Amino acid sequence: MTSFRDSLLLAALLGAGVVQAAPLAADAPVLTVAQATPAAADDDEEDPTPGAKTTPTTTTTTTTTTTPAKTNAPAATAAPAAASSDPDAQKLVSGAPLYNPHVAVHIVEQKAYSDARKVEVVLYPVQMQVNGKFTQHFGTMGSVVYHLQENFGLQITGGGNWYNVESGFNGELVDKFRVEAQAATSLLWTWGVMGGVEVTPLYGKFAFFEGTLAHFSFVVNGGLGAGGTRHQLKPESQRSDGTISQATYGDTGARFMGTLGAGFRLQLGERFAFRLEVRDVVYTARMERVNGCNVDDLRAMDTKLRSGQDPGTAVVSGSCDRDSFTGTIPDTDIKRSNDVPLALNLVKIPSSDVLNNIGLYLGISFLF
Amino acid sequence: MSSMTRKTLNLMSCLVMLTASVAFAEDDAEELVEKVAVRNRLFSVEGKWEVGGNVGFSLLSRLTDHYNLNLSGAYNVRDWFALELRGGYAISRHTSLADQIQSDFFANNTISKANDAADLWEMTGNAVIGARFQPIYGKINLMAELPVHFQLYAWVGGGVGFLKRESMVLCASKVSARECGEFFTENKVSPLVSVALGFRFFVVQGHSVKFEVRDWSYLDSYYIDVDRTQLSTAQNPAPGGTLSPNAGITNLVQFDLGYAFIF
Repeated sequence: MTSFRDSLLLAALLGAGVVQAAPLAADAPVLTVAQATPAAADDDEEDPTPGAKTTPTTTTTTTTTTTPAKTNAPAATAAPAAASSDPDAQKLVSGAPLYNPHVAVHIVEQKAYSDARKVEVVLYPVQMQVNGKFTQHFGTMGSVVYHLQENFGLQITGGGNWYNVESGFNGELVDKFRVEAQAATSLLWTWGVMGGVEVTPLYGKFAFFEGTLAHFSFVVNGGLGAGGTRHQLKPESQRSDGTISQATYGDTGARFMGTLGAGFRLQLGERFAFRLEVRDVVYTARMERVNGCNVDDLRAMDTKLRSGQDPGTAVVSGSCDRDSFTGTIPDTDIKRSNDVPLALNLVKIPSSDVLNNIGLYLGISFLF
Repeated sequence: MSSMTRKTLNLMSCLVMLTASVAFAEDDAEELVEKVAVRNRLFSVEGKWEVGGNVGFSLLSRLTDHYNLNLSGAYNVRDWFALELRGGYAISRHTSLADQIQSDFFANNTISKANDAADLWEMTGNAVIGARFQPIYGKINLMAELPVHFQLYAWVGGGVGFLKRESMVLCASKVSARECGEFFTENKVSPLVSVALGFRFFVVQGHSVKFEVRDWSYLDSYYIDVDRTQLSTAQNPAPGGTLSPNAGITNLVQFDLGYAFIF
């Protein structure tokens, strides 16, 4: 009786093992044997080697091989008869004879890690503008993505450009040819916050040499938001004594912005990923105000300045920040009033443009 | 009691062994599936030749614009390494910005000393030989049903380029005080260095499509401190001027679309 009870327990354990193994089949790649389809017309994964695809496909019950597909498939193709004694050829892995080079197998493999219902926090330590004709930007951005589904998520991106200056090319045009880009064309982007969506239409894998495997996805994202802008007023210059006179800038206000991007996300384990994206941030630029002052305000201050008075005494509109044109820049002897005629020049000839700031975003993300 | 303990231990041992065997089976299965699904290459290129063509577009056109047409031949020494020879001709020109600056500057006679612009050499004919490292082989499913295989590669090489340059400031044939009939042009043969990073995709045997970003680098040179009050001629194109000591290197960055037939 005891022995019978033990047998029952062992049978129950074996059953549990089978039950435990069953999810393996479900969790592991789903494999189906495509016996009737010629290999060349089927998916590549059907063929362990190129050599194998030219041979007629056979069923696992009729074909045996002497060599595993992974090492000697061409030899097995050349001498199928010799392959008839390999017991591995009959071995089924997840229901398919993967060791048999003559059997076409269609593979639909599950993703190693699911993204659905996960939050992804992304840090882009370096964002670099790659289309800088008249401007050059470097910044740091961050992003939070909530993956509603496997291939769709909501995204918020924000950050700032800690380096935003007119490009060396624009400086060269000024120095050599006394010309420069229109004011609106050389508007600088300082910060931005955008919300939108991200889709993952493609998922794939690659192998580095014949070893390390990596999973990646192709992401496309887009969104809308707002960002701050500024414009260079005085370029950086070298004084006669060799010291550098720093550039000055005027705030040109917040703008409506849109973004569209695409890139790759390389999965690094379950929790981390590396991202390489190209994003185009589009915004409209119209030069109407500098530091909140419109053309009338700047004319009033310019008139005061020309008459030897403090531009801070000019009567200006409520939005105009007069203080930004009075006094000196801290730790320098640069008078802020010098910026008044420069700012007036920017706004007295109206200019507008639609700017595309195409940037390369390198980031690392954490999923939880 | 001891019999029960022994029995329990036996049963636990069985459980551990079963669990372990299942875990090992899972690892083996996943490893094998990954190998068959990813590592094995349907589009193996080792030992194969390829010929193809490429069209390149400038990614950032400041003063010059290029459309580069190339033919290429390559031999894949290994699946991950190939030697490639490329040659062709680039249709190049000044951008509209350069043309505008050129004519405006000539009409502006308030500037007595002229400095020519940097990065004005235009590449025309070009031929380079290089090594292509393609260690990454991957697969994606496009539109769920179309399996696409790809290689990610880096390309490094060098060669020669035929360059031409039309000055922005030096007029070789003056029509009037405000109009130049012909600006000074130069030609030279220069060493080139080219690097690229790209993908090539395989869908059917023997054919591949390439997308790459390629940089062509060559030495720049231009005149500075040219006296505009003296008439420049073909024999003396830059009166009083000298070649800039800090001309640097011109980088022509292009996006290339290519096709290769592999045999």
